[in-house]
Amino acid sequence: MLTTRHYFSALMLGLLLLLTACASQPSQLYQQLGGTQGIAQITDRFLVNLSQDKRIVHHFAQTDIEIFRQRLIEHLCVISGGECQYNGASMYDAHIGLHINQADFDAVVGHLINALKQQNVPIATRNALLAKLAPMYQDITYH
Amino acid sequence: MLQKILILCLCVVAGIHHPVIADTSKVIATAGATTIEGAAGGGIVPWAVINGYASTEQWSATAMSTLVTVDDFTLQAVGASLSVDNRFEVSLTKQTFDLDTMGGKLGQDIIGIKYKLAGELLYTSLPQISVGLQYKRVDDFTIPNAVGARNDWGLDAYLAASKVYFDAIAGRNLVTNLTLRATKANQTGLLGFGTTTNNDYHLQTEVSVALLLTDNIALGYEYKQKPNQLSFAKEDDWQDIFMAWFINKHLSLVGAYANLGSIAGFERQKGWYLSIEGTL
Repeated sequence: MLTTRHYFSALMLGLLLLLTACASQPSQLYQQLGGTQGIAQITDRFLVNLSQDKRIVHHFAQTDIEIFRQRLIEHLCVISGGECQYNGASMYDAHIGLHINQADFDAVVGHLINALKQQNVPIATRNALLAKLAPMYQDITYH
Repeated sequence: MLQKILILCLCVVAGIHHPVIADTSKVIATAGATTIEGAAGGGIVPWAVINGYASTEQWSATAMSTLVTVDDFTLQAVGASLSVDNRFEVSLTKQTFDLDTMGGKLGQDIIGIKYKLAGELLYTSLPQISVGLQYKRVDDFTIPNAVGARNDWGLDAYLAASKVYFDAIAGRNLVTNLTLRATKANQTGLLGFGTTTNNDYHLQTEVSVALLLTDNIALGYEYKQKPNQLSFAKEDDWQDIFMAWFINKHLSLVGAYANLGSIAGFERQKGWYLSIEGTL
């Protein structure tokens, strides 16, 4: 006899299969960014843009840029749905004590947008990535 | 007088902990345009955004000139604004309203302030919410008085909520805005405030939506509800379809097709809106 529990189990199994199917291939956004190679190129352009901005470059005075670069690539990969592992601290923990204000955050967003444009990433892809990054504002600023 | 106040504001701002040179950290287009009443917004609806591209611990100044030509009238607005910390905005605007068919003209000066209460346009799930006040005074009360207005000055108060939805339609970002305004103004104040028989505030709703087709070109629509309280002639709500081009963070152009409805007995007032804005 089929009970409610059976139905529930079947539903969960179906959901699990669906999720597995989704997870088994890298997301569209990750691929649109050019995969890990594209993300690495975007990251490099972004870092060059940051380094040339006198308003914010002082925030990176104590930063090991090579490690920062690697974590950033991992993070963008994970956020965009790529099969990577992010080995860094949470966005909140990573920015404790840095006193990043809105002007800093705005400037960084501008540099990321420019890096994406320099890399010829289409506007829809750029906006899809920004949609995932913008909410990090609250974890990154003012603490 | 208006210029003196602005210069005074500039000096005060420069004197606090802000750098002497204006800065432009905000993302392009997030300053919006400037309304005919001087506040940052669309063309006729003030938004919760703060004018200019200054972010926190920065300041910005803007100057704008706008021309609206409909069938029987021409509105010109010139103004300037100063903003601090992406938090506070003060604006001064002079409007001249030529009665092309009837002859003569109306006009008003508007001093506006806006203060951001909560939220961030791009970054928080809560919309950016700002409160604003607009003190308006007509140049010459003769005509407003003759058509039944009570006062030659008025104070509008509004609460605006604005939010950008990323990747909303066809991968483009959508700007949405809702503004609630308490006002006694007839035709936004050009025909004075209140009536001889009624001096109540009216709560009006104003909305804007705009799609950023590119990073710096927006296509939008606005609707502005208005009171209809003078008995001599019907007053309609206003609406427009606009295209804004944020050429860079220092120069923007807005073109619009506006439908201002019935004004002072002249029906179906439609026409073009053109605005240029410079930002420091």
